[in-house]
Amino acid sequence: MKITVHVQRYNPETDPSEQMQTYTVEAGSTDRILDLLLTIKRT
Amino acid sequence: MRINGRERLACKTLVKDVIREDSTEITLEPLRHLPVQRDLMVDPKDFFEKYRLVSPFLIAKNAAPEKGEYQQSQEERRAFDDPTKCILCGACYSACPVLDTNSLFIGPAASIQAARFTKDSRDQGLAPRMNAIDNPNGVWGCENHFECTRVCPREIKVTKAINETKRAISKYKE
Repeated sequence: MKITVHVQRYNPETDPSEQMQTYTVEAGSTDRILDLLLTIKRT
Repeated sequence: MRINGRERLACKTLVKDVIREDSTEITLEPLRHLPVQRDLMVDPKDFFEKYRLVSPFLIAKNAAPEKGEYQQSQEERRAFDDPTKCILCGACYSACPVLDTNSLFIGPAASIQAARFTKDSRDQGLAPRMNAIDNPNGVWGCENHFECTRVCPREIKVTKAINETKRAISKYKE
């Protein structure tokens, strides 16, 4: 199933403020939140 | 981290448990009350400083037995069965509304560690920890919002333990 993930991003080296970034990822029925983050990280 | 606004463990929380039929959106944010270092990562320094404040280790009442280990009845061991489950994940610290306005409050996790050791029959209990917990920023800072109890992934009855510690302090001072 397709999941829309809004992740709060912050990198003080490039931008002093925090912002939300949206990703669309494919998740299986047994996936955990950590799996979504790892998928985002790898792609 | 906060998953759809609520403190949960990303390594344990299933995607299917946080999405609804009408919405497949998930919002991920870092824990509150701690400075964000990068993305979802916070600096846990304050959290662990407050944790260490309550001396979260056994301060033995009696000299170590010559042979073997300290003896404890099943009932004595059961007394701290609940608070000893804490994994120091910081969920309660983030959820606690008291920390919104009082950043000096030691927080639920440190309070639960104090309860863990003051309930231990082998420990000196409250005496060595009074300085850290018997003050407005210690356990008395708790206002019974029960948010810590609601978010604890180990299902520790945090607020109940804090209230028991408050009662124990009052009794101790009589």
